[in-house]
Amino acid sequence: MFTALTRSAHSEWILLDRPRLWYSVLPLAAVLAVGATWLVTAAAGDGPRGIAAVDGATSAVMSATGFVALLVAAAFAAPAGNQIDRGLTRAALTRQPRRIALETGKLTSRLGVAAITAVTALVAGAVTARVVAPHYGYSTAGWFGADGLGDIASDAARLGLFILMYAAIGTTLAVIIRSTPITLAVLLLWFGPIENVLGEGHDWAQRWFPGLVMRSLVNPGAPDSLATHTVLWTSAIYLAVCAVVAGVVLARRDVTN
Amino acid sequence: MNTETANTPTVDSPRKALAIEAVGLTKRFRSRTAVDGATLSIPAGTVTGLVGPNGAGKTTLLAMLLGLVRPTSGTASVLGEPVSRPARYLPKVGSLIETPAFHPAVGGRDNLRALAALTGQPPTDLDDLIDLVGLAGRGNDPVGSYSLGMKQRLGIAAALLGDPELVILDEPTNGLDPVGMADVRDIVTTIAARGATVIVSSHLLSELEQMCDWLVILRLGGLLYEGPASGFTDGGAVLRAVPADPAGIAELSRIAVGFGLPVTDDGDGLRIDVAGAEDPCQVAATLNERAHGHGIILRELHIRRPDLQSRYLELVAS
Repeated sequence: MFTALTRSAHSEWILLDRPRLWYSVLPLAAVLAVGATWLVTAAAGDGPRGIAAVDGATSAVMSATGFVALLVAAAFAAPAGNQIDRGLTRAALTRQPRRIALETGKLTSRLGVAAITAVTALVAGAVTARVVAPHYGYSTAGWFGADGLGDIASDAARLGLFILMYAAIGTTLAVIIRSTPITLAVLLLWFGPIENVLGEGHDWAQRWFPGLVMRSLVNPGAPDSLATHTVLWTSAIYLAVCAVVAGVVLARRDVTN
Repeated sequence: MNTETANTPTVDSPRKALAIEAVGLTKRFRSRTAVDGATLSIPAGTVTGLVGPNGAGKTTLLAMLLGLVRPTSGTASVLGEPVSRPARYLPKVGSLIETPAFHPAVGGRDNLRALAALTGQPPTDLDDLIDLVGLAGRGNDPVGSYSLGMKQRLGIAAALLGDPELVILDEPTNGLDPVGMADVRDIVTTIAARGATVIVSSHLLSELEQMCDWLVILRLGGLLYEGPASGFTDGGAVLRAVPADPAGIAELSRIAVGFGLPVTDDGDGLRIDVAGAEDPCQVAATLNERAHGHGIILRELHIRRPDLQSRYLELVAS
């Protein structure tokens, strides 16, 4: 199982590791991080996670992360759906029949690309914040001290879990639906109007809707945020559900396209 | 469903090791039966043609053998391993099923490398394979820039990764020009010469006729014929004999009747049904000798065997 998983991850990495992908994704992530950091810094006030706090180096990027949630989900749903749509999964299964290992390996490689992209965004955001913050009257003292680096590490871990959650949701939907356009439409519908309109002002929605839970994860200092342990438990439940559902569907379904 | 199989030609052949064996293999998709109780045995080392009209169940049958589709009932084994355990035999199987599928933004060579990595094969023979299928010089171009025929060639290269014992090619000549078809024929011959078993599904019966020594014919999910290709086309062979002097036809007819075979006078010459003869060529030689003994010179003497297409159409129509 583990060998099949690593081979599948290696195979997917061969397909992903191409200059065109890196030359488009990394600059885009850096530009978004720089822009978001600049805007947040310019607009930031004295809040519990204000940019002037000791963990301010990456807090602006984290504040903006919630806005790219749909993009992250789509970035995982689209390749998973396309591989099923285009018969790439079928072709891969004729060489690697351990279906769950195959899909998990592919997801692992995509998470690798996402991790590199996230680190790029965090670094670009931190550098931008360090340069921009003094112009808006914020002190950067301690940002890169021991506590500051600890907060940066905490932000990186939160961002990692954020990406993992949306990756799991996007991939699971793509595996179930098997059509990229329909999967993207469902994601757009759910993380757009349904969560934000239906969930508005409802405690149960704040507690259970995955997008709203993830918002608490990346903005833990916001007034209506869930406690971190609640976010972690809920995320674990969602990840387990995604793993079981995707696993059952992958293992039992006939591959006909 | 195998009722017609019993009426189809069979040829005794020594029992060989089987590359594929299926008993009562059935696949139903809701109310539609795609494969209906297929029972077949494909000997190892043969080039087998899988023939059938659209919707006959060819691709579904191959998909079950490759572990992509779970049989509704019945059993099957590939290279001695049950189809329920594809991980045991797929490393020894190469396949191109349905349309070739590759990542369009990635070069052909890297697509092959990615497929090889799935089984942990070292990517050592990729350039040789790319040359073999006629894509030399295009291996690094993105697959999205390939024509349908080039993708098909790359799909065949993918099926040959790792020097498999069994190669399954589903419609491998789709999208290929006549030169490409001839290339595929040569490739299949080369693979078979290495000792691999090859299964080729195709609508182009003339192509299969030139490649295959074993045939499996499906219709509406059921098996119509399974056996040696020569056994399929031998039935219906006719010996045609035409005397140089039309006046000799009556005498020639008397000689021909002596063989105990059905003889038809078509005005210009004779048609002798040699389907039941043990050795049609010997019948022709003896007829020639006897005709000569009676002073009859033959200007035409040859055996017409039905080709695969005509026999297939005849069988499907029946």
